[in-house]
Amino acid sequence: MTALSIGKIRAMSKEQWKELFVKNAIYIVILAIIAFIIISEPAFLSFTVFRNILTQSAVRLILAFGVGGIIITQGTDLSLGRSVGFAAVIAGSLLQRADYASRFYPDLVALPLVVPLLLACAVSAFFSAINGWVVAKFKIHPFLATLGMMITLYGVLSIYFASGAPGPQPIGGFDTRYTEFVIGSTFGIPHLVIYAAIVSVIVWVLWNKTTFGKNLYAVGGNPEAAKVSGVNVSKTIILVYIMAGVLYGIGGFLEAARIGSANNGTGFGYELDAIAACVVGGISFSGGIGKVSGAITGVLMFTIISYGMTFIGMDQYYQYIIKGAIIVAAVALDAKKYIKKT
Amino acid sequence: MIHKKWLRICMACLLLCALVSCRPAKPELGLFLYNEADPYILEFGRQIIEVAGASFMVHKFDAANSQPIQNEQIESWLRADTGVVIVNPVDRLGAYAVINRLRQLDVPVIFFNREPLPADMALWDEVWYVGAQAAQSGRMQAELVMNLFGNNPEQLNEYDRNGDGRIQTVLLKGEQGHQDAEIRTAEGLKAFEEKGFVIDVLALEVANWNQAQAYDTIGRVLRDHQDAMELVISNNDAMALGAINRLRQAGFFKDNNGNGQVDRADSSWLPVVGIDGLREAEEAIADGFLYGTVKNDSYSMAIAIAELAELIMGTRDSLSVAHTLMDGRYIWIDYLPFVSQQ
Repeated sequence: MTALSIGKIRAMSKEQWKELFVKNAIYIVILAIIAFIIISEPAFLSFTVFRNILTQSAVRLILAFGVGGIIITQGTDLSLGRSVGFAAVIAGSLLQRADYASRFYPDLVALPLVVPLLLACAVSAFFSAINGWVVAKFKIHPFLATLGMMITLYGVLSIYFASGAPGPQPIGGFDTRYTEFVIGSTFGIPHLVIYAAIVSVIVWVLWNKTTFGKNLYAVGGNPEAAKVSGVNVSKTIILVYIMAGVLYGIGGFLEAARIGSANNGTGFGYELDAIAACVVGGISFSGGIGKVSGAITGVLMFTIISYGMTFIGMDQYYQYIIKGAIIVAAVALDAKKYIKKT
Repeated sequence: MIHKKWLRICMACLLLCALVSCRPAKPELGLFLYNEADPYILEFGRQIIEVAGASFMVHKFDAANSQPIQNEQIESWLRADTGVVIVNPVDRLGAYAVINRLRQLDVPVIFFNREPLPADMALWDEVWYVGAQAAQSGRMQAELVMNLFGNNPEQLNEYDRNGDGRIQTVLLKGEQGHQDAEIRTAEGLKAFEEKGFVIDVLALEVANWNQAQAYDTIGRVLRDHQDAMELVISNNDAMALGAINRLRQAGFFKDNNGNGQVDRADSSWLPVVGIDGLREAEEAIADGFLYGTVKNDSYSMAIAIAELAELIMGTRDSLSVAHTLMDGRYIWIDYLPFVSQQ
């Protein structure tokens, strides 16, 4: 009898171990990669690297929150990158140094930073609201609705980009107030990290402490049930897209100054990085599941991996293979969890 | 049994890490390319690795045409023992952020292929540029043409097909507003004017550096000017080759005189000149189609870059005679004229 119960415990704990392992397989793999990086270059464990990783993650995180909210409602947003690009071009075109040779608006006065920021957010939110409206009213799959918006936005953005005084040329020579606001640091803390932290807190409150947040998860988990229990599904969907648009606007505003220039190709492909980070962070494509901490984890994982692999001098083509495999693995695990849920 | 297996896997991992972490004694050099999908840059990168590899451990990174990726690659790879980095910016304005970051870390930088703005070069004194001057390429093209037409503006030779003492010309421009395209075109025309040659511009067409677009463009030009054309000047080889393909279809470059080859003596031959010195262009010259090109001498640039890097690292006392530093920070490499030897 004793032997039997010991065997039972052993079997059980083995099962539990297995489940624990499967559940967290993706993190285990990522931790293994990080361990590998640290072993091959112990210098990776330094304050500078830590700070750089946080700084590089900042804009990505803000964008991931935007698309993350949409993913919770069972959606996706392919127009993210172009929206960020448009916001970057708008902000950049309005914030060039007075003495810069080829200004977009040659006679523009020095604007307070908040004006271009709000304008960038308003434009991004406007186009994003159209996405939300199309998805909510016409029941078009978000993949297609936002694919259309991605292409449309590129057209609009390129027309605006070409309309500046010097013609279609990269926009640079930014006002030092703007550059300092974005890439400067205070008490050793990079401003970008501070902004990302503030946005994280706001998004956490919105997702967890407001009616909008409750509706968001309800709509994402089961739109029919949400509707029956009195949630305005369309309004919730449009709101989450508008919120995403505002975040893209902020992201674009920060991105132009971070890169030091903006053009109509800025932001290209960012949607895929943001979506991948959300998925790895456990924001489920099947809807209704996802946490602020998940988005943070996902973004940090990707930044740490690409930073670390570049740090040890690994060819970027191997990095693509590893990142691609991680995304597929994350989705596979997500699907497994979903099957269990139903 | 299981324990043993895991033990073995761990040992293997450790061994792998140990192998990867072995760093050779040569100083480390980071090479950052804007886009390896550009064949010219791919080849250029290979040449730099070959030449600089003798005295440096070269780590190459491809930014896949994204300035933010390049910025992050530079930031991620840098470490305390980095001697010097070599950067081919994605966007010439992107150099601003790169220089600012490297100045903070006190890592000297050599730019190549895309010249940063003079104002950005002046941000710090540990910044160099190795490249070619666009003006020279335009002038060399003009010289090749003047040689062909007999070097005497008063009396043009048989290539002035209609004998009117003027050269009826079609110009293919790379890109509207692109610095190199504007300079090459303007300087070439200026060179003709200075020597007293009269150029009638039949058409000035923009084909975006692209072979297929030049093919289409020349098709349109031929409708109006097929019989009048005496010369095609292109801002690069790709467009020149596209033009030749279309011209061949329209009946140019035939062997009417029956000497068994395409050659200048034939009445259907038309001079076309390009810039870059692509391998396909050299073949077209050998086959008698392309009259000539002006070679953007990447191999000499690679040697100059390697020498400059050694000078900065203190492993070399002076540059070789061919590579003089202009204004303390520029090395200009001459273009090389390249024509068929018929």
